[in-house]
Amino acid sequence: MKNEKKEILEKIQPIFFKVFGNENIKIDYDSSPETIEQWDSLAQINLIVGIEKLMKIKFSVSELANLKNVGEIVGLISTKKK
Amino acid sequence: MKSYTFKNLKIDQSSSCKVKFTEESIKQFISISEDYSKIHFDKKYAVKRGFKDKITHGMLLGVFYSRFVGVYLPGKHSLCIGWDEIKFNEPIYLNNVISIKGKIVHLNNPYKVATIKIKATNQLKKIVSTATAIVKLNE
Repeated sequence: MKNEKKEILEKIQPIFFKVFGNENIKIDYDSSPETIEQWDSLAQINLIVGIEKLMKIKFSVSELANLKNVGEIVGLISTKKK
Repeated sequence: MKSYTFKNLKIDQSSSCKVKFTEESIKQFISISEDYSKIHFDKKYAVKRGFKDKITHGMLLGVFYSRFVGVYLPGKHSLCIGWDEIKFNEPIYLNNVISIKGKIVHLNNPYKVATIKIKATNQLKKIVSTATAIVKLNE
């Protein structure tokens, strides 16, 4: 499970780099709009659209409403990939 | 002008338009962008660099990509929030007629965002450019 989440995090990291325009930004499970200045509402849309396309999954409105950080995004992706 | 709402959009839905690159459109682009690079208005200079004539600005085609999204697909409710992978594969010369065709490849329901793959071809059916538009429906 831990490895699976790590793999997902590694896979989606380039989307964060692209959306934030910075390949050196540190993205871990605790990263959130509170810890990353560039993570505004427009970045949120681009992140979610990018993740949907890359991982070939669909998010619902209610699922997105509860997401607080990268760890929760990774957890949600993990449940959807099963 | 089309005015599709998000619920009217479907995967693989497409639209197209044609654009002629005229002397006037190039002049207007130079006036706005202040891109006075000689390759766009000096034939001798362009030929010396391997082109058969002066070439138009790639981003002049980008201007028409904007029109495609804002007028044809999705139209009125479009709010462009990103462009990915704009590529220019072939030069566009004066008086070339370019066909712009776009197809919806992804729809994000929670944020009402459409991803549209766009392909531009010249009168010889050669692909001159491709791009991907990320468009939010601002209904």
